[in-house]
Amino acid sequence: MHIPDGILSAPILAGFGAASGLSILYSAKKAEASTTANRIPLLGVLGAFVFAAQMVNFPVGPGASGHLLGGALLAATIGPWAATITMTAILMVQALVFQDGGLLALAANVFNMAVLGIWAAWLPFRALSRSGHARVGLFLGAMLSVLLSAILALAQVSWSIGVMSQGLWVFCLGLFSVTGAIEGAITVAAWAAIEQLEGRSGGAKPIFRARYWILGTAVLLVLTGVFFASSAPDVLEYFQNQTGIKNSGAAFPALMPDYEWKQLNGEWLPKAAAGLAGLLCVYGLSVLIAKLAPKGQQ
Amino acid sequence: MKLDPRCVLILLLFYLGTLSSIRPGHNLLLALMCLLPIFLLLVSPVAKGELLAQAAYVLPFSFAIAAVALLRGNTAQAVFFLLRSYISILSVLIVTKLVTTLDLLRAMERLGAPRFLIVVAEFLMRYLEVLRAEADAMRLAALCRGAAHSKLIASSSLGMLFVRSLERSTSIHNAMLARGFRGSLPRLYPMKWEVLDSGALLVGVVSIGVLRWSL
Repeated sequence: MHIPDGILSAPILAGFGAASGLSILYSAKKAEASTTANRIPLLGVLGAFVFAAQMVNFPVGPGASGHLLGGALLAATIGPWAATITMTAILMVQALVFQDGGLLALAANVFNMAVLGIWAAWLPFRALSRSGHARVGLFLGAMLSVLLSAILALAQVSWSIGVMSQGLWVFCLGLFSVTGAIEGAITVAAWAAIEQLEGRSGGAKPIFRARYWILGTAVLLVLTGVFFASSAPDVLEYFQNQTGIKNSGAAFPALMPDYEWKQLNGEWLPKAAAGLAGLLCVYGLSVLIAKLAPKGQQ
Repeated sequence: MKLDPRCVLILLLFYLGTLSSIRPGHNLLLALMCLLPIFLLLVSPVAKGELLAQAAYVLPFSFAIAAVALLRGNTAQAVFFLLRSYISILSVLIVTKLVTTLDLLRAMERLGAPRFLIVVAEFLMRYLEVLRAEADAMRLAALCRGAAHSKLIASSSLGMLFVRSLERSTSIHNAMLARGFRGSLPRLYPMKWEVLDSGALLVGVVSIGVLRWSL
């Protein structure tokens, strides 16, 4: 998501440079007013922490990987103004020391990740925290932060060089949805660990335990995976096609052949519905097995 | 000849801005603009091969964009984007080898970047080392306890790493406060803008400008 130099056009750089400059000046003023000298190490450590976490890449699709952005974690820990400044500092150091993201493109990168990314994470977090659902807010915020930052980065590239086709947009958004879900899960887990270690968990509601995040991520994968799943046959089918071995047919009619709910129309809905149904069946079966199995074997 | 970091930063940003204003198809202009960092590379006391290789770091991102242009049959556009990205990163690399990051941050501050932002960036760089030391200590402890040779990627480990780093950083900060730290790191060598800097800035801006807008 770090755009390098040489990609964006001059008008885009100028426009986002102005927007980032004004945002950073205002955020710095607000952050300085709200941050005591004793909290400066916290900003530095959090910055270093997110910096290090951004270096760990995880696979999100065929030939693609993603990494934690950390905007939601920053916003939830130190508030949006200080988080904006800390994320800007991270991006500056990355551009200057590691050449991750361009120096001139910093204008766009700062706006995408430090301004939009932080506020996209902060607003749902704050709204849901007030109703006692801080972790849901954190998860949604982290997802939104990644998705909106990515959409804006893709739009900037598209406006600058005009090579993004509709298919590529869908593919990229699918990948970023997965990255967003993983970002949400990691953010919530890291937040929980920090709360626990600092002894201020305050008895989080058990309904938002890790398994629900995993289930939520799985549902999201099923719903968005259709966009970037390969339509090519799997290895066994390929072998069958190549060798001319014919399929003798199923012993009984399948409910949803080829992972599609044939009764539904459209391209996305039959596959997503079939995936969701399969997911629910597997989940239900797993729960059933867990209930029936003797305690010692669980 | 050592220029003021502010002068270097302005020249670099002006060059990158000019480079980004070149449209695909202006190949001669791009080639001439490429000569500037290459000349700088040749005359600078830096590891040339290493920098040329390091600049290729940016290529995967640029290649993805170039590949799309290539698939649409626009080979010239693809080569243009790759070359422009490469030369941009090469220019930044040369400058960051000649001027330290702390000097560049100070130059940003003197050019109007918020002081608070620069202080946070300086702390961040300082605490990267603290974080690395804590991570190494945790990893060593985990290995001594018989853990597998794996990277620290578990969320709980990240949480623990964060808390430990925060504790150490707070101690460092308290020690700094005790030694008289008042919100900004002291500068051993104050920046001095001299006639040479004004001259270099003028020559640089005019040369790049003439080259860009005369072709």
